[in-house]
Amino acid sequence: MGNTVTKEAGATIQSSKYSGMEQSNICENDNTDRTQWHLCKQDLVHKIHRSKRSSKSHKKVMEGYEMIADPTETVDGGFLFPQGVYTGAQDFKVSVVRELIIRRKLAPFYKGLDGIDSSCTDEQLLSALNTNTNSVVSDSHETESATTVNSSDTDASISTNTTLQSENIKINNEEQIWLYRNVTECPICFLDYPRLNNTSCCGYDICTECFVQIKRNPPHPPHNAEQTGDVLELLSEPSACPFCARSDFGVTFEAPPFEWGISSTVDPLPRNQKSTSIVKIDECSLTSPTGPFKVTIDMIRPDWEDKLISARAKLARKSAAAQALHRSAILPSTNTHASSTPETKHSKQHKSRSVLPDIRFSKNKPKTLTEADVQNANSYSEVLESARGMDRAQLRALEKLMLDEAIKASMAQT
Amino acid sequence: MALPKRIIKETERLVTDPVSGIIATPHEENLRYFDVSLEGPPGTPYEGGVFKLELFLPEDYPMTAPRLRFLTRIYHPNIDRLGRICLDVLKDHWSPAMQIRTILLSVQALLSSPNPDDPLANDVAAIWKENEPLAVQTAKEWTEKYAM
Repeated sequence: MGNTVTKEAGATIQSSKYSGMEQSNICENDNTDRTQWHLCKQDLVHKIHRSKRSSKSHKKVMEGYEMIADPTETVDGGFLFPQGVYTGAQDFKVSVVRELIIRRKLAPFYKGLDGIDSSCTDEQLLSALNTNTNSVVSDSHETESATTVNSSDTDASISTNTTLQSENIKINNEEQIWLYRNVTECPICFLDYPRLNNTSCCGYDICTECFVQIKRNPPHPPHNAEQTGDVLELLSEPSACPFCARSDFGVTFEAPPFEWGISSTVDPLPRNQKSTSIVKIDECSLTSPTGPFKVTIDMIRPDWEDKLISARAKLARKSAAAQALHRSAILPSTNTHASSTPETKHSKQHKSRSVLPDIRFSKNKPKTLTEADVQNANSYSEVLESARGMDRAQLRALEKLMLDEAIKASMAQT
Repeated sequence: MALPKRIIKETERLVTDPVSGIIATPHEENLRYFDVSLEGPPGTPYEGGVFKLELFLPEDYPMTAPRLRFLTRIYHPNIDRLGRICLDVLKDHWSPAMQIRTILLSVQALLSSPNPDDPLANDVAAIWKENEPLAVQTAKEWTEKYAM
């Protein structure tokens, strides 16, 4: 059954090669992928793939992060893209993961087998592999025709790559049977894989599919923030090992004694994507002979630092707005409450405490606050300045936000 | 949406290899939602009680922790009146290597060792710190009243 389908695939791709020349608006690789995906009517990856494509026009994917799901690209019987165990959005840096897999520093994305016992026949094993999976590369027809289309690409280096591939990736059924006869269960997704990564701290197995899902927790204030008053500080810690919780989490991969598919020496970057990531990994001495190469989560998600910076900036902006309101909210109290003692104006502690009733007051009588404040507080007029041009609902939302922030800030100061 | 293999296998293994004192049964119409019965650990004020909890496996489980809540009322400094549980492994110390069974064992361990210094139910924690025998007595009474 698989054969007839893939032969058709070959034919379709061939014809698309000739007739598709006019379709200059469609990227050639898209064309290949689409045809293949159309034929592999498997659900999950198909859906992810399509949603990626459709969302592409709306949302710009950062360079190096765009998923490349090309089933003709294989490494030692596995793939360079996730096989659909996790269906959520993938946010790891694709270019880095591809390179790590090609360099044999990270296990390829193998298809996870589900509960096949060792007594099953070769046919059962193969059919389990083919039904379990989202794409099949076991047929050389498909591979060759895909390569033909690829070679029409204008980029010469790619054609060389793919020609190399076509010689290498004839992963026949025998190889698959050989690979999947000896599988190990990943303790996180519970699927069986021919080769797994190992955590560098405690040696546990983990498949690449699960590994690329692990990420840092979102930036958070320090744990003792309430005592120290560092509520405006944000921290981000590296992901901990899921098995032993040690903080220096990373995995190593023992490359198999054979090399199938894309050679580990080939330029791993597809198309004309010359990203800087390759340099970064090289800095970590990818080819270093000393000890196994440790792949960390920060390597495959290098954007953690940007995320932390932007979270800090966001917090700083919020707190600045809150401070402005905080200052202005204190001043009217001296005007409107004649009973206020001079100490409340100057003592920092009292200031913070006095802010709560004042806010309540200002909320009830915003006019009084405004008049008193425009005269007395520059900061408040600045706030007003920025608030001009907003409609009433927006102003109310802004006021609410700022009140919340002011309360937080004043609590932090006391 | 298809249920991930991990959830299917975990459910199977909960049936074939149950943990003593813990029963977790998935709802037929939603296999991510479990009814849990947890026996109060011996030697604690919860001994003899059977506590009902609800457990839900979110979309990105096991990358995020299951959601877990006591349905039976319980007098404990780390469990509030809504049944919410203050337990690090249910929050930022969750790891995808943990499972339904391990998280329920952690909850059982929490019943054995209440931590009034990191309270969720402040009133209960205050009494626990000031007058532990009284707190233990109240916990026993609540167990008899609600969990038997």
